[in-house]
Amino acid sequence: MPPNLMRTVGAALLTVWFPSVHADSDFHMTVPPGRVKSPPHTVLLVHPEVVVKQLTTGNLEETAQDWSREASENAARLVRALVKKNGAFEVVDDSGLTPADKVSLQQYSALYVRLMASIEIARQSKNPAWKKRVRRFDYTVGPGITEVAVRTHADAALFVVGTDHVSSAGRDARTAGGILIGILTGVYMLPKAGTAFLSLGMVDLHSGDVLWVSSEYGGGGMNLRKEKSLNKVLTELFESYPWQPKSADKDDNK
Amino acid sequence: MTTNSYQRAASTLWRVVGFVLIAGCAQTPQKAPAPTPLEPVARIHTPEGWVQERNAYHQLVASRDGYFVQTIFVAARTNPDAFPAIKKGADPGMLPSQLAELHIANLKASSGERLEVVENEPAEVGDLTGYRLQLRSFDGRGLEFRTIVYGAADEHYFYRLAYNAPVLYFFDRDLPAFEAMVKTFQRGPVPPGESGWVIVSLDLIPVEKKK
Repeated sequence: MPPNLMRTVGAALLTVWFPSVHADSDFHMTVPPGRVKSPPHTVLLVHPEVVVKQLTTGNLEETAQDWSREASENAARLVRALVKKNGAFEVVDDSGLTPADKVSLQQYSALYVRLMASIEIARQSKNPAWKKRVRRFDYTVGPGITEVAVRTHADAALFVVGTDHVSSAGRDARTAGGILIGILTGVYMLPKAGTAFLSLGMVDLHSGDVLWVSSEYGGGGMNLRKEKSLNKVLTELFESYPWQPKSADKDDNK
Repeated sequence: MTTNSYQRAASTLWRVVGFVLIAGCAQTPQKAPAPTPLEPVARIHTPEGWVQERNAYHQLVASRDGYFVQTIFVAARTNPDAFPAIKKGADPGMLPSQLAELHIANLKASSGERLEVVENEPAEVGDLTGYRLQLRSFDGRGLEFRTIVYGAADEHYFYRLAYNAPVLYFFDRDLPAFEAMVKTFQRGPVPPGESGWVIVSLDLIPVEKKK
């Protein structure tokens, strides 16, 4: 959909969607038990795409390239550290891929954002048909991703996507729905407000099926530009990872 | 699910969204009209397993995985209101190519973005000869989308059926379901005693667009 149409849709959505969902929310969903034969052992970390934008008083947004690069690199480093500490799986990066493959993975990352938003919106919908749809949790990015990532010999791909908005007027809370729609459309309900969103998504590289989604979005409580805040959010997101090693379970029980 | 239950299930979400989605009728959100009875002008079978809803403008929208992944849109307007963004109407005497050009102009005027027309060819819409467009666009993250739009006019109404999805995996996967749906399109209300049809209702054109 053309960006202007998306913005129009977004503005419309903000007036009718998620009226009761508040900021600083999170959601996690995992593929139903039995559909995964064995947990992923080797996971390809797709280069994170954390976009930091500046909101103007006119509610327009501009991407802050330096901040975005820094936040994305921080996210990659922090995810590696978290996984190493947790031991849930082994991480491989995309350095062995061709530039074309890396571009393809970024396209899959963009597709993941849309799937993740669709999952959350279905989860929040008042339409029982959408609630039924999301309970099946049979979302996929398609089997084509297998060919892209075959050189990595990984079992799954981990997408890390996020957006943070910074404004000089502070970081007021927004509705969760407003944040999600804003990510996709560039329209934000409340002027002069900052907002943040971060999502981890794991996709099976043998099938393209989405295995796990963990997202958090909020206003004043999240600041993806700050390493400490970013690490806190990533740690919280990883808590819902369904195939935690037994040692991690023991740690949780201490 | 019956047509009535679809109406009941229609989410407030689509009060405005369906109005602007793909059809490209408006630049800014419009206040949704008060609920009014449907004015059936055609009927169709939507793809099995897709979630379908009707917005407050009586337009039919459907999706399998979510509206950010793929969307089907079906609606009809009276001929004078066919292309509100360029303030032009449809005429049954127009050639399909003329109607198609007006539709493209309307889409471009309403979206304000570059829309690349990949295909523009005559096509059957029920018992009418209309056109089939394929459009190319990109979202904010650079993901390529394709949109298929069918359009045709009779002596009273301008009908349009559209499908939009990312090229990556979804467009090709779900296109056959949309094309199969288009083949079921028939003008006129649901005949007595027949079930399974979904009503294509006349759009409720916002007052602002009639000025």
